[in-house]
Amino acid sequence: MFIALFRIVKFSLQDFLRNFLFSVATIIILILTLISINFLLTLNFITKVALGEVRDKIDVSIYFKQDIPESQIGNIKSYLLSMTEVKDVFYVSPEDALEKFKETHKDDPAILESLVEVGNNPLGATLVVKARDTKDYENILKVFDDQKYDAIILEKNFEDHQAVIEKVTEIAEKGEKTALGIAGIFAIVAVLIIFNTVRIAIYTHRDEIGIMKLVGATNWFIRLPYLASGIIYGFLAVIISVIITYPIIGFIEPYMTGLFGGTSLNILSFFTRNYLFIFGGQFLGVVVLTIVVSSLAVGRYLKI
Amino acid sequence: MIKFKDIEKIYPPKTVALKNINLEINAGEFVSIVGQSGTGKTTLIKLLTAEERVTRGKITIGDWDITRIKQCDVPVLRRQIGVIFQDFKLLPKKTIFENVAFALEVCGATQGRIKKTVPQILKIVGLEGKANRYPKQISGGEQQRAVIARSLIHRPKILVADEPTGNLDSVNTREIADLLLKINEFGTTVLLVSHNRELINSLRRRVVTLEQGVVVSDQEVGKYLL
Repeated sequence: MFIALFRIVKFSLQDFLRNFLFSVATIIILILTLISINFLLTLNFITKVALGEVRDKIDVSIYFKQDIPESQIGNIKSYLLSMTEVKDVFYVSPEDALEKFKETHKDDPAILESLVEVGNNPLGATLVVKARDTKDYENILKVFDDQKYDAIILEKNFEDHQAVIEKVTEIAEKGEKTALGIAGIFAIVAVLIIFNTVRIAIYTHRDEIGIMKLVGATNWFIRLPYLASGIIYGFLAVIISVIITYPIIGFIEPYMTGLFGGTSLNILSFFTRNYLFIFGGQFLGVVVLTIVVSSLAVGRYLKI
Repeated sequence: MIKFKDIEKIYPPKTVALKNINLEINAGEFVSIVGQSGTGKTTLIKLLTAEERVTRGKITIGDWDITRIKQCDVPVLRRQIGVIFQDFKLLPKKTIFENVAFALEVCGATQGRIKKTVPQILKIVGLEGKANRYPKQISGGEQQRAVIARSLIHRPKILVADEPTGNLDSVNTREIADLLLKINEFGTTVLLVSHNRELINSLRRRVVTLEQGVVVSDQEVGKYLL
């Protein structure tokens, strides 16, 4: 058993070295495929961060009439927080609302003068609601369609945000679908490239396989070195693609951060956090694919 | 003893390669199978090594019926029959030593046995100084010797040579023939397929002549008739 295993690894390594150029070409194709996949993952990650940023900036405000007791608004806040669609609710007191109003219009003396003329604070309290998903805003605000709220709510600004919310939702959905589509195309291209590379590799060995059979090699003894080669190719391709991917991301990350107005994207830490899933998955994918393809391709020449 | 009984081989749809072949080859015999191209000589050899299956009839080696041999038993059979081909069939990316050793490696021989046996066999065929060369670095005659060395590595009871001198000049042909006779003297049954008239006539051994898939002559000390 140990002897057989040793020989399978030996033949596999021997084959790798003696067909060095072909092995290198195969690995380069695999590396390019894996780098493309990593690039796509980066793109998908950046899209998600960007959409998250936009989504995070969206909220709806419910403006209450003046003199509504804070306790009553507190009850509404608690009710909203109990809804699964609601991520967070912030209470803005009339005083804070006035301060914010003054800050916003500090360069507009006409408005500030009118505030002085009014005398007391004309603004009521506000509840700022953040939903878990942009699609949820409509449902959340439906709550306030109830007539019982007419007496206490002055305005809800859903209509103002509706267009933005719909647009963001649409962009997010389209973005995810596009990313999935591109990933699918990449996956198909990768499978076809690997399929053909391995098939060509085995086609060039068809005479050798015939000779092995004629000197009494069992089918498994012939198959296993090819499977071992698949593992070697997969391992080297993943390692090299990691070595190439990390510096490239390290190089582009500061530029991307600049594009996002200083928001740190942490693309590298995304890869590091998920290294087992990403690179382990890629290794497993390449190995499984080469094993399946080589089994099919070798099988054709094992019928002697 | 090898027995071919009522053998018929038909390639689809209706090409009859062998018809009504009845042959008995005793242990230690040297038998030449001759005939023109396309008369079924190679098919007969392929049936013996289970590269092809008979359409009808029965082939036995000793008590072993190989007519319906299971796929998993084919490697076992091939380790017991040494085969030599006209086109050598050496692995081009392996050295001569590795080519010969490969036949041992596939059946799980230890490294110690390989290191001991391969040089001995290479010495017998006169290739002791060329063990580390690749097939393309040696002559055709030397390549055929390497193939003979590989086929002998399991010390087979049967050696099948399919046109072993087809690609060789007269000097190398004679040397290979002498080597085959020497192997036969050690007790190995040799089946030689050839259409080299001079070679066959010089051997003065049993000759089976095939014509259109049928045995037309079987002489104890025969000559190339066609």
